[in-house]
Amino acid sequence: MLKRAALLSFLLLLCTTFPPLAIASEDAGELSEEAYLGDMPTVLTVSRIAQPLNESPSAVTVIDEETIRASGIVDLPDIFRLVPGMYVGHNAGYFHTVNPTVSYHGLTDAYSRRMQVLVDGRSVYSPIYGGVQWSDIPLAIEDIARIEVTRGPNSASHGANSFLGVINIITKHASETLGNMAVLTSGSDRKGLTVRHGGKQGDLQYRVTAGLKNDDGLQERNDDKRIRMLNFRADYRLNARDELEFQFGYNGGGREEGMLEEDALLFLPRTKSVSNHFEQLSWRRALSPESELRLQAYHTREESDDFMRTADLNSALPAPILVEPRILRDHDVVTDRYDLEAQHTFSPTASTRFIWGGSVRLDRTKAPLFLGTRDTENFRLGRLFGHLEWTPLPRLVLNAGAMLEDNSLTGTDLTPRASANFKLAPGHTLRASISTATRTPTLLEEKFNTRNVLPTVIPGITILNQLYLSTGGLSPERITSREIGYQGNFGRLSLDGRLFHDNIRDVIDGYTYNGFPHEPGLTPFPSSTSSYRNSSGINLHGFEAQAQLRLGTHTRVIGNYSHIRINPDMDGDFTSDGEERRFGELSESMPVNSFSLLAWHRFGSGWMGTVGYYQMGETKMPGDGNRVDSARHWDLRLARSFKLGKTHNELSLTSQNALDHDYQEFARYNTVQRRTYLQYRVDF
Amino acid sequence: MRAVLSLLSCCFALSVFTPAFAYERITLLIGNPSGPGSEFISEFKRQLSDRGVRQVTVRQMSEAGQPAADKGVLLVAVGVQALQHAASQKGNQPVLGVLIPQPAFEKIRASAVNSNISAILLDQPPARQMRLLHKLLPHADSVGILLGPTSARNNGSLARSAHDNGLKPTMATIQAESELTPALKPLLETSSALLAVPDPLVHQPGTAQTMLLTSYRYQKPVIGYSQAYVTAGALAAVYSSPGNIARQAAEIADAYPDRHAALPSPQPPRYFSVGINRQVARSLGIEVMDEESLMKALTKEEH
Repeated sequence: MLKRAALLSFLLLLCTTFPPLAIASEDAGELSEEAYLGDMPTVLTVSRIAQPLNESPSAVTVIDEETIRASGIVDLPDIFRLVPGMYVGHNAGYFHTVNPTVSYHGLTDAYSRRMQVLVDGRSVYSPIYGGVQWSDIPLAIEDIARIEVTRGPNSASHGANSFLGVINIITKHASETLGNMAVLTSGSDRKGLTVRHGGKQGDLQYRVTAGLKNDDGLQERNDDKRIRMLNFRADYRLNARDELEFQFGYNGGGREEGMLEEDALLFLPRTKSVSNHFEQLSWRRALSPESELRLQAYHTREESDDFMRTADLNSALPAPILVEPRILRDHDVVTDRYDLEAQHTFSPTASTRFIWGGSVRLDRTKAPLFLGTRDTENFRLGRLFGHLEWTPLPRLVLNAGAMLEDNSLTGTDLTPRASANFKLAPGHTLRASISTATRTPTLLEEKFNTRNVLPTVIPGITILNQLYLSTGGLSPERITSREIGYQGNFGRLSLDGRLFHDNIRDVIDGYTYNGFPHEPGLTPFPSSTSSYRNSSGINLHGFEAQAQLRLGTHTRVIGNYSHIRINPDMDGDFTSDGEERRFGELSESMPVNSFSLLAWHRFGSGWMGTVGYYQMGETKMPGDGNRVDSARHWDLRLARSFKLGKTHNELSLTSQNALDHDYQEFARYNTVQRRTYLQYRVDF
Repeated sequence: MRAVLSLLSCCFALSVFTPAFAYERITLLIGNPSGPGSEFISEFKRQLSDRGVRQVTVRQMSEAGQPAADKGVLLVAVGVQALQHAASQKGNQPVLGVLIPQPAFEKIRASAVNSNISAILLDQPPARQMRLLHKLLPHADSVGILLGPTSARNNGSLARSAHDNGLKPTMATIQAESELTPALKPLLETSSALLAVPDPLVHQPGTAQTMLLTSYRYQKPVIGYSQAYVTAGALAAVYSSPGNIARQAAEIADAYPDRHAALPSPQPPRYFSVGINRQVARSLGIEVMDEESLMKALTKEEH
């Protein structure tokens, strides 16, 4: 706590000491010839300009701020329902599983381990569990500029774990958030307040965003979250070429978990405390409009403390043999990530663009209960990458790139990628691509070691309940993805479709085994434990499409459809029928068909209406999940914006699942009912 | 063939206006010897030497012992500072300001001692900017214009030129920089593109950054007013370089028939260039002609 206070006072000091250093800006009262003829710093530098969709080496879905606001979402993961091939399921589990599952193309339990998530280039993918705890990211929805989702592997750009897809969240530059803002949300199960102040002192621009959110989760689940958030960003222009960016973020608070059932034995209701923060510093030098050098360093810390207790276990046994009938465990997990990356973009010739760079990373994880040691686990990662974009003919864009990675867990890997985009006619592009990626085993898959040692009243018998003991030595999972895509514009309608075929090898899968090593004098019960191994392969194929219609500036319609078939290779070696069955069930970890639609219209005089429709096929999610029926729901939003003096105001009413047809997501215990929110936003 | 004809007709036009009593002596008054003025001076001299030898003196404001006003000498004041200085001198020497923003000219003229002043302004005619927008984005139906306290005076002519080009103008006027972010959002939501207008408030370097980043976030192109704006991230701009202005200034010095008459009234730049940011165009999926063709097409429409 003291450290946090020190950091805050440092930030305040930064704000107050920078102004004298700042280069004096032009006198606002005069306009000289300099305004017309002088230089200006490059704002849309090469790394800020997104590659046009028809030249991109992979399928990309861009979600812009307007879409986020029009959708009326209050939980960030819900926006990914607008990405074809994406699965979103709110889950309120019992143990580190109160988290929406967001996965691209399924193959996920409560942890979506096969998709990378970046916020301003900072990976928020957990090294211990894999996946992302969405509520724990220090990020306010209001600060998001846009989200780019790469549908397909993109190891060549973002390295391992950019496996089935990559979510890249980009926040606004401090100069885009000058002034003040407040958003007040009140609804059936979410109440929140977000305030933001953006200011400038000469060439320093900054913002502070603070938020409180009381998230009551799903009905009849012990999944409430108290989310306290503070984000700070400063962009400082050193001169016409150089710009510094500093960010700090904190997200913490209590998170409820556990079973409310009266006969619950193991995961009793409790409140876990979470405290995450990060610091990030980037330096950009615009060498020319086509060329840029970027250095980025960040540190993230994720800390959770979960004090768990069981019910009286003797009550479940034929005889009260346990000396300590209640197990009390302090489950403390601390992860630090240190990452340094350099990237250089330039155009060697008029028709080529080259991006290359490298990075080093250290992940330090301490999780005594899960790793069976009080030592800190160090995971080291080094990367070198290069990517060439070449336009040999005006109608042809070729992309080729590769990532060379070396990590302390699985060694060295090279993941190349190549694609060709051919413009059939203006506004119509055909793309063919092949891309490879790896997924590094998570720390738990490689080193899970969790157990309960239970003394009994029976002389000489101490029970060893070894829940997991990873055998280790895992190889990374590998994917080769092939696709043919089409991107076309028909007047105001843009269409994007692709046929894909993914081949995954060395799938890391859970299994149980007997005869695990243990200290003498302990009696294992049960006699088996769980571990992970590289088992069989999986093939995925399917079709997905997204369409966007813009009718003038007042109406927009976004539609998405995906059809996916997952075929686990059942010819592999399985250690048991149970493992084989579970592996086979991966085919149901994604709805075969899913569809989403969002349409909004501005009626004039400040009124705006949105209709959303979401439909997902039946699933049977692995892990904590189970079979849930296909589901559909309608979201409605009505908003009115108005000016009061100099303030810009918006009052909106959003109803998710407006028709109140209850449906389940991820597992039968997660029932989604109608949720209604009243939101007031003021910018001043 | 057409090129040859137009060249011939140009030569013909120039020969008609080459007068016997044009200013024989010209003094260039400069405030800041580095800066854009130097490009103006070299191009101005070159243009004049093409038209026969003249006596061109270059004087810096900082030089001691300023000569008295001479009505027989045309004083070309380069930049705001130089014009301010020249306007405060007695003697009604003819002064032509160049590289002058319109608001600056109006301010100087209002308090000038010398009443014989005119200027070639840096501000592009709104119609030219709207035509550029229309050429680049034929499907655009609306244009957002952000104005400050100074530029708000031109809202009438901006709106007219927008309508003339089939564009519905949406305007927002801000009084303080802090109003920028909230004002941009509704403007961008309801416009096909944003037109940047020079204004002492809106022009702050940080403001250009806000406008460019926010517009890009909304995937709406910005039409700027300078080459620097284009380099910074605007889709395109019509602008007049010091060289463009020098050509027009030489024509005035040369063609003005009677050196005892008043100078022509302040005028917008006649010659201009078009700047395109290809990276931004590509990223926004906008197909654009090259700068030269656009400039020629716009010039043709003006005649």
